[in-house]
Amino acid sequence: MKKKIAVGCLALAATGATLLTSTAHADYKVIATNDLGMHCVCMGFDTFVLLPPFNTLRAQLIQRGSDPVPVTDGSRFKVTYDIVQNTEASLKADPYYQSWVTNAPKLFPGFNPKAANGNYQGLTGSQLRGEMTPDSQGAMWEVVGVPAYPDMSSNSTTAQKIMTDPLGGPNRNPYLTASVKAYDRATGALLAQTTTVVPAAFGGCCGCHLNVAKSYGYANPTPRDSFNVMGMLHAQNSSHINIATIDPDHDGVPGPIRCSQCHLDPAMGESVAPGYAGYAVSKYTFSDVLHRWHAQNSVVLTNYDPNIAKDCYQCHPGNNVNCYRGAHTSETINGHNVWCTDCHGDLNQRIAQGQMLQPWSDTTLPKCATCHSNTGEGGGYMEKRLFGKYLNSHGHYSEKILCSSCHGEPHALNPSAMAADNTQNIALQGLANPIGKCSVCHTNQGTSYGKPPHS
Amino acid sequence: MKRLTVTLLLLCGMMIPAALWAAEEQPAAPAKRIDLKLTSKYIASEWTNRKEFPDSVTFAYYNVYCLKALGKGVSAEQKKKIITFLKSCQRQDGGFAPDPAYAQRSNIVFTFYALKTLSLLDSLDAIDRNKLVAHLKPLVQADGGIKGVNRPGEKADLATTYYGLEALDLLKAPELLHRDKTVAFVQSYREKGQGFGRMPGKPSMPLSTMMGVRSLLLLNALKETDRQEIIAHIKTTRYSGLVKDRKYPDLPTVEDMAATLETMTDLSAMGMLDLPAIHTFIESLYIPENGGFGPQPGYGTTPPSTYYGIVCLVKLGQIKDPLLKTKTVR
Repeated sequence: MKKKIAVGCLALAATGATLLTSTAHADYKVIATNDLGMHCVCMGFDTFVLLPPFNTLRAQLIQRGSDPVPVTDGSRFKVTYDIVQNTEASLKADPYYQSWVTNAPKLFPGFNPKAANGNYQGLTGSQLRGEMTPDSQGAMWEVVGVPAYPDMSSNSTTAQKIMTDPLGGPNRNPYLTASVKAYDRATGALLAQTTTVVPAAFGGCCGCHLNVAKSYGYANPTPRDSFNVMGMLHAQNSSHINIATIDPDHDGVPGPIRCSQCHLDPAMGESVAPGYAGYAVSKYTFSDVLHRWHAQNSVVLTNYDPNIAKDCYQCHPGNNVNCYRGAHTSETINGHNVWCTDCHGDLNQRIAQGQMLQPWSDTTLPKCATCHSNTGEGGGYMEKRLFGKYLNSHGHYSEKILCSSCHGEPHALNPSAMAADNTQNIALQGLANPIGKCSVCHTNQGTSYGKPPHS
Repeated sequence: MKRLTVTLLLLCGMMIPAALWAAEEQPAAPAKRIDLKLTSKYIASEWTNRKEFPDSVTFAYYNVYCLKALGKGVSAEQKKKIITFLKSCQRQDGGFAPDPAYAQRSNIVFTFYALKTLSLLDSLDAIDRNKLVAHLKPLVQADGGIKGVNRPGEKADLATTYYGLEALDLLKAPELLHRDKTVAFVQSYREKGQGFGRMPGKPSMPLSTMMGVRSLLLLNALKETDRQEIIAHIKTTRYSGLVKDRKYPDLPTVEDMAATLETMTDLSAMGMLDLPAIHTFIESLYIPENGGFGPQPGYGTTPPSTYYGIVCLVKLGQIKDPLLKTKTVR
């Protein structure tokens, strides 16, 4: 029977027609999620970079039974991931990704975007496919820093290529697929497999800043023209630094630079901004300067967008990507839909409360408990120094099940408005809702059966 | 749906005589794909029903404008909420900030939107006019420009001056201006033979051109030669109807489309535009899933872009212009 199922799964995978979640072994289930529900990435790296290709996947391998347990023994099990649409060939043919390959060593000295095996690798050494690392404290498997990139190749269907390219290039698929499989390390037997969404999208920066460059006289502005204008504007602030004149690699051509080199961004894994030789490091975080400047600058407010404090999609991926797509989008508070600012606050509020002085922190990110009671949020908490309570908390039995394993990725909570986000839960329990059927993990009514998931 | 289309056609027919452009000019295509009933629902969901309603000064204006344009009207309760909110946004210095809780710094753009909203609600007397006039006075600079923020280092530009002029017009306080100097200041943003730029000596931009033209109209200083040149300039831009012409590397925006339509309405030159092409463009921004409009082709809905979409439909003569109270045929 097991063999039949495994053969069936292989046949399904071989057709390439679908990547539905399915189990290969009745005793195990694997549930995978992306950490944030969206990762922004720049569309070229010749001049400056806000965010590099960097994606993180988490998975929980559950050994089913009367009292199921998440297993993380790396000597017994192996959990693999594969970014389906991103291949070595597709990234080689992608001009934006190649811009990353060329400039990454200049942006991150010592980093080689190609691994020893010749494959592309992310900043942490993670490749497009490989093994996930067990994390016993988190009761999960994780791969950090996968260089997933919005796909323009024929590996994505036209229907998947929903993201507009502000620079006029072809549309891209921002919602990639990760195939996650768990194996018995000794026998190589496939124990469980699933798919999850790996979101990577362009922000809206270029859409507006090319227009800014136009207003400064660049008739058909390029990203470098835009960089030059931004540098000139940056020189008008208290730093008096024209960022478009910084030439870190001393090749005589300014750039490439990364903003977080001078403005601390904990999302880059740094606790202090490294700075550029000869330039002062800012005391303001990247999140703070970026948001505060746009929300408070009179030229922005009077010439571009007086609503920028609430207009999240001007900068965050809204270019038909609409990264906020989870269950909250169809929920209402007092008759109105829940918008980003209902959880995060608008920029005026976030600035006034100093939220962005500590970005990516559980002290400043939204908490479920603000609206929901008895969530168990904070249980089995992982000290990751990044992300909010939801992402790093565990609930259910022995506080070992990640909130996101059942409820989905932040911004894409189940049931999501986007079908791909629901695929995993539908495969596991026949419903797009958060995992709620005991039989997904419990084979019969053991001691933990029926235990409320949030207590 | 059929009934709605018929209603729209009737409404369009009623509105055309009220529009600013001449009767012989090209009529806009009637709305076919756009379901304004759904748009009204979207507005209710995103704005009117919010506990925090009206949420910000600009959203207050967008909401009132859209409700009136869509024939929904503003209830007494909504009106009271809006006025109470706007009064709370008037800062100690007399100017308006975007929201009372977290943004303390007043800015001319929010002062403009607050006054415009109150004007639409026939409630300009609800705020402290004298305090506001006293706030605006030092914003008017010796060179004729009007600053946006009363703070050292802040400079006047075309946009801040335009918002200041609109505010002074609504307050009926033209005595604060050095008219000739202000005319010269505004004209300094004119690109020779073209429209207006965001900065002196820089290329024309749709929003800046709208601001420049309206500023000159408010100052009663738009010469016929200027008018002709600006119309000729706009006819060469993508927003004359060439919105999706492939020679442009970037995407057109609903905001620039609205600015161009406002400019051409102000110049009584709507007939110079390819209105069916513009309607098709606006239609392409409509999101049938929720009834809103996106900011650019292929983008999802946002409340501000929905407001600009409705402004476009208003300027195309397809729905009621809330700002033309006296000229509307009922």
